Amino acid sequence: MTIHGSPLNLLRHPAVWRAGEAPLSAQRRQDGIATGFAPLDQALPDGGWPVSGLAELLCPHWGCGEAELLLPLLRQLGAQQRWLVWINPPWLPFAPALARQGVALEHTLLLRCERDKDLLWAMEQCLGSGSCSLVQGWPARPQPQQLRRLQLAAQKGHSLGLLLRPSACAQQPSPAPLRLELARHAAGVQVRVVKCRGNWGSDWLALQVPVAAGQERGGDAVVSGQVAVAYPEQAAFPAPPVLNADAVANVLQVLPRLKMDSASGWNVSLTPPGPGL
Amino acid sequence: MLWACLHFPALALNRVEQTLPAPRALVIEITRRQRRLVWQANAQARAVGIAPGMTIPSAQGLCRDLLCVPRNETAEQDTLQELGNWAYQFTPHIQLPSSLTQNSQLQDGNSLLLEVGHSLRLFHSKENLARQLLEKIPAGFQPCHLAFCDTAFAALLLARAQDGATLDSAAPKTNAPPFYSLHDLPAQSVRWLQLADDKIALLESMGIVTLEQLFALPHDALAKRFGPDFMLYLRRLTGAVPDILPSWQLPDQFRATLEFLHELDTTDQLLFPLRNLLTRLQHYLQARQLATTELHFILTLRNRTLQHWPLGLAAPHYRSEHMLPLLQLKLAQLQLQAPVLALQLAVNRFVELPRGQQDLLTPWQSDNVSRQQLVDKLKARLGDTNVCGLGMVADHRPEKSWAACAPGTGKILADPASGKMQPQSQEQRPFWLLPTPQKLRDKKGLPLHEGELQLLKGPERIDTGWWDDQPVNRDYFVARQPGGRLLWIYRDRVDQQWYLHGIFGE
Repeated sequence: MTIHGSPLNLLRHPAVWRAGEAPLSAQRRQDGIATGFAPLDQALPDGGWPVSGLAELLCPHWGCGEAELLLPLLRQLGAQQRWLVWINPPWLPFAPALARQGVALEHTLLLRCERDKDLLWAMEQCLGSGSCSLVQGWPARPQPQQLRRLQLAAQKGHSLGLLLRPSACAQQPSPAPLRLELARHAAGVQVRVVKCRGNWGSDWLALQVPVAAGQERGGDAVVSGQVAVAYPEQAAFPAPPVLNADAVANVLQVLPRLKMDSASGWNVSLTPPGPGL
Repeated sequence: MLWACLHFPALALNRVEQTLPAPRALVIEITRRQRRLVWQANAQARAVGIAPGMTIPSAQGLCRDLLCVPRNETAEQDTLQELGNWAYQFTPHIQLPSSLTQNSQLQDGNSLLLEVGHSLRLFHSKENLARQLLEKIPAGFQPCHLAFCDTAFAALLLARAQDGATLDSAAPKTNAPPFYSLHDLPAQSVRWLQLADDKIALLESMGIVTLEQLFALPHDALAKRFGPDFMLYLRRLTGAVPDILPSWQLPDQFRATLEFLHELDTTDQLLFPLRNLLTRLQHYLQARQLATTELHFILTLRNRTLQHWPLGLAAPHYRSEHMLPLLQLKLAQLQLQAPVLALQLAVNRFVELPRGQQDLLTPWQSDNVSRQQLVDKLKARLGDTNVCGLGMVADHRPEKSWAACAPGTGKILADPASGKMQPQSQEQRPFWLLPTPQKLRDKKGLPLHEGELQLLKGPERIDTGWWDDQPVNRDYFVARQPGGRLLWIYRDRVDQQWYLHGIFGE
């Protein structure tokens, strides 16, 4: 399509979205991959993660909830006969945990790169090959033009590239069409759309993270000083009692003498340490 | 039968030019009566006035940096053999003229005879076949003359008759279709028969100039004067005696060598010859419908020692454009022990050609082959150990319950000892695992990590591994950091220390 005449004609280009118009997400192109979190799906232009392209996830620190946010994505993309690539993750993705969450281990590919240059090269190769559904990378200091290359490669290979970067990068411009920011607030993990195509960013959205830890915490015993405290199932985030040092020291003394319950491991129920113990 | 003859008049030049990084004046020399003579000269040499038959000193007088290479007939035969491997895609009936005739004039070994009558159905028409033949001739084998005729000898002679036309580049190239029939033969001169000079002289003294006159003579009389060999030659030329259908034997193993005229001392210079060798390998593999996973390069060094450079591929490959990028990456890591004089590629092991399937409905085209190609490429640059898949092992020790495995193999749940599937622990496991547990400080027995940790759940005791001398005896807890992050920590029951072993993703 060629543009003639006044600059206003430029605005008629179908790829140009004007902030005054209804957001593109109102037209709901439902070809995205559901994030598993309804408020976030609403805020994203594709109704979920884009199927191809580059996205950035900005985290205050690693392990702040990004893994749980990505699990539904990993689970769905694992169904494709393509690689799920991890490049230089901060720690090892723990295979038994992934398998329990239904992530296809046989499609997982773990890469270690010593230099940032190698990481970006590997990411570009993976994205452009068409053989990877998701490529997650933890780069140190990528340049905007390198990110632009990744975006082009991702479109070519119909892959989703995900860059995990520190929150400090939110102030820097980035050619990635989608940027999300994670934060931990008092109420739990929250996510915000910093930038997306065809829409404004969003406010902070609370993620009801279906963490195994959160669910199991309810029914299980929590080690407290004197007694086993059982929390009801429906309590989503009970604030567990803070242990005092003496209590834990006591528990640890007692532990070796407890018997193993074959079904559930250790069931701790303690009585105050008396002279007999 | 329909025979096609591919004639490569400058085969000896082509063979040497393949090893030259840039075109330059080149002659092939032969020694006659203790004089070194120019036998063939390439276009650059002819441009400065060097002509076949000149002595080497006078040719060197015309061109200062003239490259003179002695003729190597064995190597030319090998080159022709490889061209035969390439031509195998058109027909299995390929013949070298040297096996066809005793006529020494036809034996200089730069023609290939293909019986294509049986392949016409595949290629629909002679014209289409001729076009494809000329289009697919490997790069660097120019000029090439093509002629079609009903008998092998006629095709051979007709292709060779075009010789004079294009070796002298001044003569315009004729665009006549290369299809001839036996009816065209009588018009030819007897010189065209490429007989020994005394026989030509004898024929001409008899007043016989064209083949028409020769064919008109009674056979008995001719046989008496020229011998039975000559008669057999004539009868096979005219189709009176049918040609024997040859069958081409592809060698069992691939071996190709490039000898350089100059020493190569950097790996970058090897790229050009590598591409050449891989193209030849591709022709061979396509002809045999095979692929390979192992390439073995042997570099002949200056001091005549051999440097071996074996390369393994993760998946079978047969196309040079797939193998070349991998080699390029590997080439950067190759350490040359001394300048290289020759490069040989040997491939001894082959596998069946993988048959890929493609999905019509998905926008990406990813099959097993392309996925393995990606792994190959990544391994070539990052190193074998830095590319792995994740697998599980039936072991209760967290650090041993996962394993790096070959990409794509994934889930291994079998117990290494019994081979039986074991249920993994149903306890909660963190998303991230620290490769080695990190020791934590403690305050009055309570663990510290960026603040006091709050124990939420536990302990889960893991006391196992006594059988392989790496026992663990630990109580695992889920703990919460002041920032809200959930950690997987344990207290080692042997040294009574706290360790951080995992991080939950929340």
